[in-house]
Amino acid sequence: MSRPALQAAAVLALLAVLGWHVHSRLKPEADLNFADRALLTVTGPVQKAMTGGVRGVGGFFSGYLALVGVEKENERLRAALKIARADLVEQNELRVQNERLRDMAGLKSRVAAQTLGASVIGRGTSARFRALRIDRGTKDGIEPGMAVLGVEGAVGRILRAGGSFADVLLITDGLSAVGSVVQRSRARSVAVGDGDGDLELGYIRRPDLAQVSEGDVIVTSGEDGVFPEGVPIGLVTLAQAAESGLFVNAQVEPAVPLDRVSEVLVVLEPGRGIQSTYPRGPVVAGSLEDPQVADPWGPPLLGVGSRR
Amino acid sequence: MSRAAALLLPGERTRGDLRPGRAVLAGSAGLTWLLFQSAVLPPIGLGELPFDPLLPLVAAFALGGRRVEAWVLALALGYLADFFGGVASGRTMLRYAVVVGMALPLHGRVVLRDRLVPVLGVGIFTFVAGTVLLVLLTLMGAEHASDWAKLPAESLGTSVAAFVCWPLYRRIAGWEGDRTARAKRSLQ
Repeated sequence: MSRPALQAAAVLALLAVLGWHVHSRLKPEADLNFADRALLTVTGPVQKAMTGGVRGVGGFFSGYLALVGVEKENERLRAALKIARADLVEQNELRVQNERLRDMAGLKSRVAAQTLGASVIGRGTSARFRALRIDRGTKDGIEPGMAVLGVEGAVGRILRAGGSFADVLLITDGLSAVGSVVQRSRARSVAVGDGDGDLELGYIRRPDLAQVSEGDVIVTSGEDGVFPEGVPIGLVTLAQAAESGLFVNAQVEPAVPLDRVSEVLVVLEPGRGIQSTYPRGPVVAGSLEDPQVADPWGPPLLGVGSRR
Repeated sequence: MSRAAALLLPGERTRGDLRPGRAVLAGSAGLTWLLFQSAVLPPIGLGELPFDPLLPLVAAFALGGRRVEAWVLALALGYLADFFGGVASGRTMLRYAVVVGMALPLHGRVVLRDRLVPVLGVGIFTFVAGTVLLVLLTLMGAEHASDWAKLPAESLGTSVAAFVCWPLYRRIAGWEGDRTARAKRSLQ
């Protein structure tokens, strides 16, 4: 065999091996191999430091940069204003952080299972997958498969965990499926991530279209053995009978603003429920934009505000 | 005439002329970018970028004829990109490998004096490699409809990224000693 032919065969063999590797990873691996573990150990603290730095500086710059370019004659006033704004930003940051922590404390008290708070230190860079990295790992008792909650509802589940860090597969990822219930009608379904930031409700039959409508709140059923029962997943934004097929076409906007979530709770005992103070009964259907609906999520989950 | 005895211009390397430092530099740059992309960009609202700036870097090594470095880089950067992507799927690694497989044979066959040809090439590489991957995933029953929709924008975005980054990537890949660069200087 000639040398170019050998090279071509080697390339094809390598591509075949990589294709097999992709196939073997269609179901995400929960176990970290040695290289992953080493990478996580090395890069995790760097990500944590970078995220912390950005959060610290970001609040300041968002108020500060607006002042650049003002006329010179106002410089003295601007300087004073800068100082005042910097103080204000700092105070606002502290206030927001305080509220967030209080929210987390509130959620913690409502979840019957033992939970652990964690900060988000990084996000998946892939356009295909939806994932977060948090600053807790196996040393803190975290294991793959545990549910991760935000202040407003379900966030995802632990995909894999290293010593001090863990990756969370978001509920909006195409690989995610969460057992769910339409809160108003109690119709059971599976909320599957569409990979584009929303979810789709699966397995609601066309004759049962009335069971789900726009504005309905979708909560976890607890039947998947991962999420506690009754955790908000999202709000139905579209419900219609598809032109063909057996099932209703229903889209759900996640309850948690997953692109902005910065603190989460990990449920250390999979499947344990939420306490009865959690809204379970029927709620008024409505859209997020509908001002007539005071809060489509029903009573505040944590006693502080709504998802917006 | 054997390859080793081929006539070489001053500064021109042979195929066996490995320069691992270049690949290490490229790997470090890639890792830095991935850390930046995962930790710094999301908090400022730039979490989802419709382009992949690392693919042109891999292509730069391959188009420059750096066979070993290009393959090592494709596998290493692909692994890192998959790792930082959140799900170790192996998909980026396969995509980069397809790019290297396409780009290596083009070394010495296409003129790469300016940015336009490489940028066009990177766009085509991105599109073809993405298509190969999606066809494979379709055969496995794991593709998602939105993946196909994202591909054209991703190819275009990666081309734009290549246009911006190409001079830097040429330097990292060590093209300063090649024939095209010398020819360009001699014409000035």
